[in-house]
Amino acid sequence: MNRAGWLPWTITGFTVLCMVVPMIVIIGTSFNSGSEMAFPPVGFSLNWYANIFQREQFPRSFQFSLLLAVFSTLVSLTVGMLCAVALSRYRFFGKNAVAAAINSPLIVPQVVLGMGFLVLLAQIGIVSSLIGLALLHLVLTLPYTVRVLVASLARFPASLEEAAVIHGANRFVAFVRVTMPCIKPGIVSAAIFAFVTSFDNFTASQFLTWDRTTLPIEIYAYATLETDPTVCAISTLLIIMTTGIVVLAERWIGLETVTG
Amino acid sequence: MSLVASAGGADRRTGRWRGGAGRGATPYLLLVPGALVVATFLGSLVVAGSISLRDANGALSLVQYKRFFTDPFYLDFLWRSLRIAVYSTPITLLLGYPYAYVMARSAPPARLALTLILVIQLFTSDVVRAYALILVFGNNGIVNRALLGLGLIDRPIPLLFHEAGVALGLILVPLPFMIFPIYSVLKNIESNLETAAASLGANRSRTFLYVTLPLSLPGILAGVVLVFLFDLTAYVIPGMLGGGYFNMIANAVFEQAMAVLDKRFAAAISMSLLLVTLALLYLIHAIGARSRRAER
Amino acid sequence: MSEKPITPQAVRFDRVTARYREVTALEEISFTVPAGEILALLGPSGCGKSTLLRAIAGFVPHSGDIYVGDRSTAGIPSHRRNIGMVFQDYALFPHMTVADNVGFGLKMRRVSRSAIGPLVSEALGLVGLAGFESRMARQLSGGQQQRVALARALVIKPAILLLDEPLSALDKKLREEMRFELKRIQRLTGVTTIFVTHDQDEALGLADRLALMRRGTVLQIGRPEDVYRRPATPFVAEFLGAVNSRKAICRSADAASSLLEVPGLGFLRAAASPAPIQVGDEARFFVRPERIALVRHGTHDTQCALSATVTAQIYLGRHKEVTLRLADGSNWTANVSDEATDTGIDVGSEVTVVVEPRDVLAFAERDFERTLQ
Repeated sequence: MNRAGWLPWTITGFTVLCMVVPMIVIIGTSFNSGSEMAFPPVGFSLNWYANIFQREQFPRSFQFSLLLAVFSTLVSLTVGMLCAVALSRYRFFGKNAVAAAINSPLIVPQVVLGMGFLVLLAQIGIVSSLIGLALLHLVLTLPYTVRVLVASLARFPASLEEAAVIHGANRFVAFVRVTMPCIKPGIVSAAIFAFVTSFDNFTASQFLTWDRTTLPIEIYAYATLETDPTVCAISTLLIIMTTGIVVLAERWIGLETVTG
Repeated sequence: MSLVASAGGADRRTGRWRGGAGRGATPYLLLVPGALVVATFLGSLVVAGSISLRDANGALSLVQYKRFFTDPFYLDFLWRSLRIAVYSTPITLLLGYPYAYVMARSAPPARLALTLILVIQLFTSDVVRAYALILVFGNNGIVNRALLGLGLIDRPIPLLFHEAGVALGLILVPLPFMIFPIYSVLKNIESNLETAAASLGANRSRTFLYVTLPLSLPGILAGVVLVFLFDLTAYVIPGMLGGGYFNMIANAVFEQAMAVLDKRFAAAISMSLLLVTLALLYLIHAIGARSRRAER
Repeated sequence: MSEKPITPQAVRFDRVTARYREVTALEEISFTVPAGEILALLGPSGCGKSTLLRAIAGFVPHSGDIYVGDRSTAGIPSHRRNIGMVFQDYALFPHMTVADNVGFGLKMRRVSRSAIGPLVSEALGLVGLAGFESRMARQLSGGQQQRVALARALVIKPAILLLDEPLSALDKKLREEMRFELKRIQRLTGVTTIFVTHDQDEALGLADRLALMRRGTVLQIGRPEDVYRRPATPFVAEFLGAVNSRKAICRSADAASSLLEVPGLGFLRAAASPAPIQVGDEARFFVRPERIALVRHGTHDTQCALSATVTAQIYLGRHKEVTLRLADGSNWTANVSDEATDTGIDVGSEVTVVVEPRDVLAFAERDFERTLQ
């Protein structure tokens, strides 16, 4: 491993600053005692955190986003696992086309997805944000879960499953008792991607927010109207949540599983 | 036995799965739920496509597309988006490549830290990240306040709410999409290759130029494509950092669909954007295939 | 296991044929493995030995039938065939303890938890790993993993035991140890065992009988010493052990032997041909290095001798390996025992190679495809 020289390191340092400083500013500003966006913060106050709960759209939309994300993750994992088993264990006609079709939502621009779902749901007659967003998020998260699970299953040695089978487990039992525990890192990684993709989604989701909204959409709305540090507070909470997920992922399964 | 046999078994050489004989309906059954999801997705595109091909009375017509492609006001959205994507992406590459290089070449602690930072960025919503940039570069942001405080300027410099501000966001926010593909390729380049080059007399920069850089081209290409598409179809960043003064094509779609309520026109713009995206991807693929053929 | 587990079952192959894409992996395999026997499937890579093993397990679709005991396995899925199998990479479940691994088959057969414990301990004792129950499978060394895999396969008291290259991943010393262990355990339990190997020593040392396979067919089955001494085809002669060979023409033949003229070298009488050779036939003959006697000068039957020069010799303790150059320039190897070294044979000596007719294995070319590359 040859070490990198000073030039790459310098540029990297600059880039790190560009990424980290804004976040530090947000976190710092959130503790400001006044209502301006002051950084470094003047005084220390948790006002703005309290304000989050006084604005009922934040707790409400947070709950909704959480609900959507959990739903998308669970369903996406299940459907994704079925697809991944089909794609990695079987040869069949049309396999490449199927794989491409499952991955295709990834290359479609978010606005196009949002637009498409808007008109599709209008056509079908679905007017509930819950159903519409659930479907949309499922479409958004499935490519990620399938991709990660296919990679995990491909790396899993076939002889382990055969050993289970020959000693008396039918295919299904062998899969559940042997394969799945062994690909747990992959499952966790897929779950994380699905959850984050759903929770953070903004652009496509905003076409479908009729009777309910998600947290990113509420943050956007608030940020364009008001100029107090409440947005900083809620952003800070989200950053903490994200950091928590990433650190846990590193502890449990190692970041290489996530980043490849 | 047919279930097991058709599911294939271990390949003797690699120990990995070798697909089964393809008899039996099992794979198709397993794919049913996934197929439903894909059908919903494709259905949405079909419906959008179909309403884009209708005029105000519902009759089949290309009038929406004609409007988009002949009205300079709307074409400008497309042109603007392409332009900014074209010059922002290389800058992201210039920042991202060294980062990926350092990540691939550093010891585990440093690599972990760099990865953590990147992953946290990736998992944070665009809205929060764009907002953070406003806090730093906005008129009230720390940069301006620092410059004011130091007496270097007497009025805030508008760093945002115009094209340059949006470009700033488009350069910084998609950095993870540029860095991860390049890192992935770089870490697989054996360090022997660089040592071999060095032993043959190449200094640091020539080793990089003649060995590392060419080998990392697939990663660069992947990263460039991802970032370019992100920039082209961006919504949040132009929305928040452009302040209304630099709306891009995605913003135009939303406005037409939700504000003006001209869904047909919005659909036409969406489909056009999709076509441009697919055309670009196909172009990249074709170039890639041609260069692979040329190698043989 | 203090007493024989169940009645050992015989295995019968009845015209087993398997194809994968355009390749015929197994071609009409038909033979029987008697109950309680250890059979080795031996052959070069791609010969189908692993495919046949996996066909018994039910992992390879095939036509024809495989009988375990009296019952056909057709239509019976792998998990119900009551077969114990040890895989080449051991395939221990990494997320389970040794006890859970060994007890897996019992659990699948719904043996009660209280009964599983003692059976697992017994099996571990049998393979010499008593006390290893609570270790994690992934923490064990290669040799230990192999024993656990064996215990796992045996604890279910299977009808037959299949071993896929059981010793290939072990180092030499362990391999010899485990070879001994495997035979001991098999004799103790009496289970019919079929194992696949590409290592001749393993096959010769471990098996009661061996089946030499090539390109999907069984060339010869027999006890190791029979296959070694009386190979049925030139390929078998060359595959098992070292061998010297040359081409010759048959000049005369009677019921017991044929006289071969070796161009440029002389004559040899061959009395060990599986099929009679006729006058005028082109033939190929084989002589094992250890069946050659070297004589300096003196009378000898001209029909059993060829002249040669010693070009090299290596003293190996138990025998001397002598490299000879024959009159036509080709090289032979002879393994001569210690006593023979006192005859004054040295590098550069002119010697006569003497071979008994019963040690000259000859095959008519027309009967067999050329096998030497």
